[in-house]
Amino acid sequence: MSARFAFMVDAGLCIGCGTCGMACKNQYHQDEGIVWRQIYPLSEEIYPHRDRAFYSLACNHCEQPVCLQGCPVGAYTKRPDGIVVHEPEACIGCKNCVRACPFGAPRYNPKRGRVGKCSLCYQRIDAGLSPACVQACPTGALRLVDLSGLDEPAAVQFPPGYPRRPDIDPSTRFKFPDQPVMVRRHA
Amino acid sequence: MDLQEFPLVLFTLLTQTAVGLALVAAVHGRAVAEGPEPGERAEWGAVLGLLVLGVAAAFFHLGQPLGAFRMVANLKTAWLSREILAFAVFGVLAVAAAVVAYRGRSNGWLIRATALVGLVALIATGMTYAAPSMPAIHNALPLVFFGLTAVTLGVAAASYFVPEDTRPRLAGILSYALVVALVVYLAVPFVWLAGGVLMHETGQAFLTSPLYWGRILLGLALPLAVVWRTRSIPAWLPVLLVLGELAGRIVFFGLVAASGANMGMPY
Repeated sequence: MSARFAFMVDAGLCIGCGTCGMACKNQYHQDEGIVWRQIYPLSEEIYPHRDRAFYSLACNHCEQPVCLQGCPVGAYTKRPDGIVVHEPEACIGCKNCVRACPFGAPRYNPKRGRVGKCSLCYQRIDAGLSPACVQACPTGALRLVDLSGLDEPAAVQFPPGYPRRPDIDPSTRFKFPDQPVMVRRHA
Repeated sequence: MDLQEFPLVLFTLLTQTAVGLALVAAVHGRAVAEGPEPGERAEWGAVLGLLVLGVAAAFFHLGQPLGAFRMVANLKTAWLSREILAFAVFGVLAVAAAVVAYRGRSNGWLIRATALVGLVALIATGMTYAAPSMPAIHNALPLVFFGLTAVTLGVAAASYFVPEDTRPRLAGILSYALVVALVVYLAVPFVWLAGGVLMHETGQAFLTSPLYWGRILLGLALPLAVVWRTRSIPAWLPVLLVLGELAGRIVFFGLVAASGANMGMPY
């Protein structure tokens, strides 16, 4: 079975520090205001506790990528290992992928007139390294996993606060944070 | 609305009016053996003018306009590529129809073929804007909206070109189209209110938007009342309809909620 690389996001470990997004920005020398990896705090309706929890999300490298399907110039390709790569030089900045992606992954860069998105640092993976965001995460909340051999029963594909799109089959897997334990003193 | 989307507002409105004009020409059977009617030359000129203006507006939406010629590279899966190809064929056929009309002749088959390709382009546009990230319009609604625009603006614009005796018929068609549009545009936001979080958000955004209500009252209800009362299409009415459609399209591009903006919140 061929590899299918994906991000594993442990929302219980994530502290929302944004180091992953900064590492991504440094790796690709992105322009001001352009961030491919975003930190989304879970709303209190989903995680009703004083402690906060976060999803760190970039491209989900979907099995049926709507960005690739909708791109009129073929700027997207999907590698055999599941990574959806965007070729900026081929992009004409029509923003059709931005409108299409239910996860808001492709970002338009008005300065360059082109769209950009996470390519799972495939050059680093090919060189045997971790993606920049994974390497930088101080709490180990972000990991690179191979879905073809993943054996983590706690991992879910569609946690609360994340669009449920089985038709698109996003690769990212999540561990939802444990509910905080309330300790009461007994008289 | 993000100003970057405004060229798309113009592109969709102008090209849909052009398709509407071609549809009226085909359906109304104005391909007569004796030759074109007096207004037919001007009408095909208008179709071409609207198409050229619409396509020109679309270029302002592109980050790399010089790469536009590559937009038909993904016909296999991209509706946007299919849309561009369909409009290119529509343009070629419209040029041919205009040339025939300017030579003082008329070709019914050519007019019907142009209208048919225009219809295909309209369907491709509807599919292009049924964005998977927007549950409220990830369905046939964009096609319905765009079809209503093509019919109302196409019929209204055609009133400038048809002979006097044909205008009451056009007024009848326009009144039916306006009734359907009014029902659809009033009902859809309420249907969205009954849907999921993003659909509900979209419905609320529409129903609290002054542009939406302005469009309903001044762009649909008032024109309907005028057409009903006068049994004709006054020369100023298409302008009012265009303004209404403009407002409606700004609402369409600006207020539909996308799932990417709701990450971490309930869906």
